[in-house]
Order: sequence, then C-alpha cells, then structure tokens
Amino acid sequence: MNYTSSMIFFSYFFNAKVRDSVGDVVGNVKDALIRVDSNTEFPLLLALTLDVDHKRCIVTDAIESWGPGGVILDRKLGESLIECVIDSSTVSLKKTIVDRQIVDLAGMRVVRVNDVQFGRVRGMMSLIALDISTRGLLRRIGMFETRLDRWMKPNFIQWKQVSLVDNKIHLSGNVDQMVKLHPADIANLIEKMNIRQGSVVLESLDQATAARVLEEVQPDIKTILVKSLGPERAAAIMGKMSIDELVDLIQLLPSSESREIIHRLPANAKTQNIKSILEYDEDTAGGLMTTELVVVHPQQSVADVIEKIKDISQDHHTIPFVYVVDEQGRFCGILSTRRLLVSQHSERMEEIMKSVDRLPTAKERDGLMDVAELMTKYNLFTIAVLDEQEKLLGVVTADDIMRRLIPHA
Amino acid sequence: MQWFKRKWPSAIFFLSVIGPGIIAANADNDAGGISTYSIVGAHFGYSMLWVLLLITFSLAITQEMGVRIGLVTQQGLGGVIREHFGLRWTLLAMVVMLVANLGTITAEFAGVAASFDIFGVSKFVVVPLAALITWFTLYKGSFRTTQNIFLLFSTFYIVYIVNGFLVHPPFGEAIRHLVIPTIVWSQPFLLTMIALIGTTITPWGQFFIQSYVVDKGLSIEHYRIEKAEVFLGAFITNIVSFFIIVSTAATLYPLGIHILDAKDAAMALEPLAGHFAELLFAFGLFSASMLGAFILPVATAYAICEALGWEYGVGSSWKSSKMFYIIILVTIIVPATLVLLPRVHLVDIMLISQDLNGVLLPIILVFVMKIINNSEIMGKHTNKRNSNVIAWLTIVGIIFATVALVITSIAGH
Repeated sequence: MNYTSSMIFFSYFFNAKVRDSVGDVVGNVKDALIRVDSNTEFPLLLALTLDVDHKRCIVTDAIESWGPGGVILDRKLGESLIECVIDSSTVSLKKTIVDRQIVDLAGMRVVRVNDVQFGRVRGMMSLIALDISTRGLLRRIGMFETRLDRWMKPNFIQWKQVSLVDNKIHLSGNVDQMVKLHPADIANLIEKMNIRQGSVVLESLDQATAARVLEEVQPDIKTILVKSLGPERAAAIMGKMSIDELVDLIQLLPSSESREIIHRLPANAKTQNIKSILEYDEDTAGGLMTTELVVVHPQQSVADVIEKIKDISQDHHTIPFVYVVDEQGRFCGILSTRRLLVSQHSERMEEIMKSVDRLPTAKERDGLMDVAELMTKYNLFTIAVLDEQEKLLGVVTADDIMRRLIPHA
Repeated sequence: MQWFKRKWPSAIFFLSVIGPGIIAANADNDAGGISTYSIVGAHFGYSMLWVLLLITFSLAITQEMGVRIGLVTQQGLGGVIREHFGLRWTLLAMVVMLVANLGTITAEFAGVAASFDIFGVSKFVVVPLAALITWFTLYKGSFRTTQNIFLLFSTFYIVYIVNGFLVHPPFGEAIRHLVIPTIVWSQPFLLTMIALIGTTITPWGQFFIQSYVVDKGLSIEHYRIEKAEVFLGAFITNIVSFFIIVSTAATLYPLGIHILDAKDAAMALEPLAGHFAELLFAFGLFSASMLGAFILPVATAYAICEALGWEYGVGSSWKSSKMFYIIILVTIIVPATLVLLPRVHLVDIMLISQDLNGVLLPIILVFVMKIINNSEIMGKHTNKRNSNVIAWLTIVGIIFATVALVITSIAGH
C-alpha cells in the first residue's frame, strides 16, 4: 500500500528513519512541531526534529514521502534543515499532544490521544484530527493495518473541538457533549481535501460511518469520490447508505458506472429493492441514457448559465443543450447552446427555453426502438428521460442509440 | 473514581476519618495476605519477622511516593507512565500489572473457596456464585454498600491482635527476630519470603493508592496529612501481619503443622475462639477475599483504561465504557476458572500468587522511582535521599531474593 499520497499519521514517522535524496539514513525523527494560532482549524505541521541535530529541524517542504518505512527527503539533509524557532505558538507533538489525556472543562479525565492524523489542507501538510481510537494504539506499536481494523471504530476529535490551556488539552464542552467527529464534520473535511485523500479517508472509516459521511458530502464531490473509490469499494460503502440517499447517488452517476455498482451491492432485501428500481434493461431509455448533462434552474439568467458552462466545460465532451429543472427536480424544458449565445444576458431560462409541453420525452422503461422512433420522428438530437414524477433522470442522445445499434463500429 | 468520594463515607464514620493509606493497607490484607502470614509463622516460626519490619518501611515509603506522584500530577500511575515513557513502556507496565492482578484475584477466589471448604462446601458451588455476585455488583453498581460491609467485616483482623496476646508468645524472642536477620538458603524459605514481600507491597497497591488520592480530589496542600496517614496505615497493617505471624508461630510451628488447607490455619485462632476458631477464621478469610475480589477487577480495569485512553467509570453504561467492563469480566472469569481447575491446591494458589506479585513488583517500582526523581514531573517534590535509599534497597532486595530463589530451585533439582 502506498502511504505517500494518503493520510499520514504521527505513528508513521515518529522514531522513523530519515533518508535523504540519495537514500542514506541521516537520522531518526524525534518529534514534530505544529503551529497553533487561536483560530486554526488545521494547525500547520511546521517541521520535524531529529535525534542527530538539537538546534535545527527538517522543514516540511523538504519531505517527499512520509510512509511507515520512514521519511524520505527530496534533497540533501543540509538543505532541509532550518533553525528551530520555538515560540509561544509552536507546540511539540510529543511533549504536549501525543499520549496526553484530553480533559473536559470539569477536569474529569476522558480519553487519550493515541495518534495524530495529518493531511494536506489547501496544499499544506496540517494536523487534521486527534485519533483517540484503539486502532490508533495499534498503529503506534507498528500494526499499521490489521484484520481487526474493521471491528474497531475510528474515533477522531477535530482540533477545533479542543483548546490548549497550560499545555493541557481541554475539550470544549463536557463529557456528555463530547461529539466524536460527526459524519457531517468528516464530510466537510473531505470536501476540503483533494479527491485522492478524500477517498483514503473514506476507506479508513468503517463502512457504516463511511456511508453516513458519503451521504453528507456535496453531490458533485460525491460522484467523483465514488469514481475514485472504484466500483468494488464504493458498492461496499454504498450498501450501508439509506435507501433514499442510495437511489439519489446512483442516479447521479453515469449509467455505466451505476450499473457496475448495482451489480456489486451486497445482496439483501434493501438492495434487491433498489435493483428493481434502478437497474434498467440495457435496451431501455434508462439503460441507454447518460446523466452527464448541464442542469440549470428556471430563474437563472443567461449570464449565470454561461458562467456555469465555463466552469464545468472540461468535464463535458459536448454541450449541445442545457436542461432546465425546477426545485423539485421536475423537468421544465431545454435550451440549445446556440439559443444561449444569441440571447440577452439578462434573460431568464424560463423565458427562452423550449418548454416541456412542446417536447417529446421518454420514460425510463421505454424500449430502444420506441425511443429511436420518437427521436427520428421529431428530428431530435437528444431526448430527456423522465420518471413517474416527471423528474429528469438523464438524456438519451442519438449517439447513444447508434452505439447500441452498431456496437462494434 | 468519583465513586470513592460518594461511596466511602457518611454511614460509616470512622472510614471517612481514616484516609487512603489505611484503606489501601487494609485491603492489602486479603486472602493472599492471611494465608501467607499464616504460612510464614507456621512453617518458619518467628524467623522472618525481620523481613516484616524492613518491608514496613518499604511499604510506607512506596505508598508515600504513590501518594506524592498522585498529588503532584493529578493522574493515576498508568497515566503518568504513558505520558512520560510512551506507549510501549506503558504496555509493559500494564501487562505486568495485569498478570500480577490476575494472580491476586485468583488468590481471592481461592480464599472464598478455602473458607467454605472448612464447612465442606464444594468450590464448584461457591466460586461460580462468588464470581456472579462480584460481576453483578460491579456492573449493576450497588458497589458501595457491599464494599463497606466487607471492609467492616475485614476489621476481623483485630481478633488476631487479641489472639496474639492470648497465645502468650515469647515476645523477647519475637523482638529479637524482628531486628536480627535470619535467612535460610532453601527454596521453601525464599519462596515464602518473596510471597511475604509480595503480599505486603503489591503492584496493584501502587496503582490503587495513587488513583485514590487523585479521585478523592486531594491536592499537594494535603500532602503532610496524607503522608502521616500512609505511614500510620503501613504501621497498623503490619502490626496485624505481625500478630498473624506470631499467632501461627506460637501455636502451629511448635507442633510442626504444615498449612495444607484453611482448617490448619484456623487452628491458630483456637486460643481465642476455642471451638469457634474455624467459624471465625472462615468468616474473616471469606470477607477479606470478597473485598479483594470486588476491588481488584475495578482497580485493574481502571488503571488500564486510564493508561490506554479507554473510557471508564463504575456506573457508566456498557456502551460508553465497553473496554472497562470487558476487562472487569476477564479479570473475574479467568481467575475463577483457574480456581475451578481440578486438583489445584488452594493454599498453594494463595501463596504462589503472592510470589508472582513479589517478583513483578520491582518492575513497577522502577517506573515509580524514575517518575518520582524526575523534576520535570515532580517539580520540587522529587525524592529525598532517605526515600531513594529505602526504595532502591527494596527493589534490589527483591531482585536478589528472586535470583537466590531461582538458583536454589535449580540447585535443589
């Protein structure tokens, strides 16, 4: 397993060997320093101290990899060292954080910091959370991954939930109010990370928690996360999601991907149910359609929509139309990009769109030939696929039909 | 340990006047204690009294150090070890304590079995019942009353003091043996001597007293009073030990009686209780054993959870303190099962478990010494020279006795 790009724990590099760019061992990590300002949500990891040099420490920038096998520098040791500046905002992890108890306001003992989790936040290696779980304990004694992991609940406390008073870690609030990183908090964290790290965090959670977290993540990030996890792991996590959330998420995914995930969902009554809702025959509108489309709202102006297209255009192959959908997800109409170009910037979608009552649409279970017939008859380049409630599920393009009819071309 | 604050107290006034020192010391005189002291007197007469005198100082000093670390750091011993020695050393200390405590709890259940054995009640009835009662009392939390009852019962030791006078021992000889060391380089002698040390100064006692002062909410201003209490506690508990030894030394030793079961040990009380000696002894042994069986699993779970950062507390829910209750369960079930093994000898269990404590004790004491002499932790409350000398002599003495025991055992074969 490659740790370099993923979540990093204190246990990975504490006491670990440091190698320079040539591969020579130049010392062992003795401690890590973080900067704690009053409002930091994610304290910066400033530097690592070495057993061989008591005055200088390694700057975080010089570190190429943080794996459990040791720390590797991207340059020579000499070029990695800076004078250690210890001021009031610098905190030593070993002396003040790790192994310390976290006390609540009443001074009652609660839990202990077993490990500390780091990750890149806005590009900077930062402290993400304090690990108070038993899994953290095992990691500290060198068991980085064990079979027991899945029975042990991850348990993190976010930095913003604690404060340092006289070098003691205090929990804001008392024991009863102690919230162990709520799934919504983890979701927030994930949204701030890059996708690779985000999916690593998701995988580090037990499936039930991961599912709860995934539910809380913003929809656009959700779909990218699922893609990054791969169908196998995504399905395992999604199997634990609530049925509504699961249906919604699957509908967000491109049809090929959602099919793969549905196939891999754990077999139980809940997912059987989903399959019947979601698994379309390949030769139906539902099976053919793509969900990769630009959705806009009736009140949005032409200027808004053009901006939106500029933002997302990389993700789309072509953008022949935008689809207008109301608050409830009901399909209202379509608008060609040509029409967009020639309209006044202040005009709103509902004023210029081609309304649904003048448009033929398909139902998800309509057969391939029916859809093809409809499109040929009305000379359509794309056709919207709606469910019973008139909600927009996706779009079948002429291209989709061609590919189905002549698969090997 | 909020519960201590609430639980010791109001109803039984004198218990609230005397403090941690005496309670910890009293709880120290458990099943292993009674049987070890009985064996010391019955098998070796007065010859080991000098050891008892020396370890009275050791007990006072080590307990005082525990109190001092607790008052300064406001944490239990496990917590301090974790913060200053890191996780690996903590795990070592925890394993050592767990093994020693499992031994002691096994002795407690053996004590329960032995006390009913006097009346011919099978251990297969008594021990499972005692284990069940212990678990439900700890889990359902009517801990306070039960514990106070047993603590009150265990003041039965006073009968040994009275008895000690009734047997008209040769006090001159006893006092001579108090100050003039005798040592026999034989396996039985050394085995009993280490048990004598191990039952008086225990790893769990070290953890227990430190947690106790912390949870009683005491701070360094109370140090002088606490120190006096601890010294008094060590003195009183060893006065009791002295009279148990004297009672058996005066009654059983001249007859050459070897203690094979509780009935033999009970005979030492005949000068006081006559025909009721067995009843009295059974009652005392039973309540002392049950007291230990209540306190030790909690103390063990408490120390481990504090050190490893698991949530804990008597009266907390299973859900929030799962590991706490799992440790309690294990420390009840494993020892009870060991006692139920066919053909184990109850008196042997009680003695050998104290040896185990004695052998493991130096490891815990070295941690205590490293902590108490670290001015980063203790500030100006580090050890004075006298305490250091006594504590190190204790550690070296036990290690020396252990090595001698190993050598004589090998040579004996």
